[in-house]
Amino acid sequence: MFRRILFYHIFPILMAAGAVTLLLIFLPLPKSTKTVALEIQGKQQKTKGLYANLLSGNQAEIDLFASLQREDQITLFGSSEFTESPYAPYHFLPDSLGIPALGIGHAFHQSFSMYCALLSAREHLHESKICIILSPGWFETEGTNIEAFLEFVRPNFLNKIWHDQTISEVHKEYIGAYLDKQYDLINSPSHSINKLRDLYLLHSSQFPGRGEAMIRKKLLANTFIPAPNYAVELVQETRKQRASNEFDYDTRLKKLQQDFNASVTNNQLYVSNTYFSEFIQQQGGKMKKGHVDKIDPAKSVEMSDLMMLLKLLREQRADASFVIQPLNPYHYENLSVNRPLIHEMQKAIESIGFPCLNLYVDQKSQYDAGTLNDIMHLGDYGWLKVNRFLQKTYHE
Amino acid sequence: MNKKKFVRHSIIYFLLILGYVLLYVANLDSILHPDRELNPKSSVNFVYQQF
Repeated sequence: MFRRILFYHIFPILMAAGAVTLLLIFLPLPKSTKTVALEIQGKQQKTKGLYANLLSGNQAEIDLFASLQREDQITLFGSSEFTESPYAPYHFLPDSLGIPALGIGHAFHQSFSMYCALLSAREHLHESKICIILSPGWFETEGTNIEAFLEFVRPNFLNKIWHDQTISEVHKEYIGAYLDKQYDLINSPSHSINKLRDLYLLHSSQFPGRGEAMIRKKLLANTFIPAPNYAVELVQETRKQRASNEFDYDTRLKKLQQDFNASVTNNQLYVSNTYFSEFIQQQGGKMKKGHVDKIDPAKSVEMSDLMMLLKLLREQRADASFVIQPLNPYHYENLSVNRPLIHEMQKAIESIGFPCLNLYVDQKSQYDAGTLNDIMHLGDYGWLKVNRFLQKTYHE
Repeated sequence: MNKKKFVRHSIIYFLLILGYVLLYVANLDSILHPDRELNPKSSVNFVYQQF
């Protein structure tokens, strides 16, 4: 019996495996005829405003690179709090103070997609004015989802990261690990996605992942990955900058808070009327109560992504700053459970020397009404506090 | 021992392993068309919810 298995199965398998190996070694593979260098040329068009995502093509990428290159422009990265409010910094700073500012983001844009986009612009990060608006809600997720990743980390960015020899393998493998985890959720993965994933599998994975990555490395060695280079022409800023003492923050803050409080008439949660009716009020006059999950910073994927983002900004000596948004303690009942998480975040940010505006509170008595429009998104009053912080950080 | 059966099994295993390598491990289309640029898309649409 054993002899039969050996003769009819084991030997044929070994012979077939040997034949396939020889075939793979000596198989002539088609080569790419395209040139690798890809020049992306263009003129900066936005020195104010918001890109909700980067799907609109090369111009959005050019404006992001231009914003990071400009010494006088602030680039803001955030998520669902980015609206068309005139007090959002990418409107208020250019319009009222003459400071160019560009916002990038919508809901689900989290630490990892920000990290990858910034990594692709690595050479422009030195002293670049970057503000990251952090949301505590991100830490309740499993990190950036794949849809947001593909919206914000465009193929050109991944191609650029792949070709950039100055980017350490630590960064490339961190991206590869994410891509490996999300791989089944990607339709038509690009060559750079495959290569970054394989880089991670080759160094960190066990059988069969490592073996498969080795085979792909051999068979897909000739695949074409363009190496983008952004040749960006910056526009001249025509707005005149105003000094910080030319704008009366205290008076405007007081007015905005009074206006907000007067506008809230159907609840005592300091939530706008429409939001309260739509999302919090339930049938029979009951109200939805909010609870947050207790997050262990050591096990949080988002925390790990934030640490990589901080590592990158520190390595490149970016002129970065951070804002930690609050959650509304009148709605959420147990915010104190995440006090260690917020403390850890602030400590990590400030230990590198990046300024941090921490608006998070976990008690009703500490909450400044109007900071949020609803339960988690900054309102005009909150945005003006952020604007004052940004002007103080970058223009005093 | 039957030599014909041995050869037949060897060919079958060869084709199985080759198919696994070219179709599952590496994308045959990418091997044959190394110039093709792909536009990756998410197979999942995440819906933003307030809660």
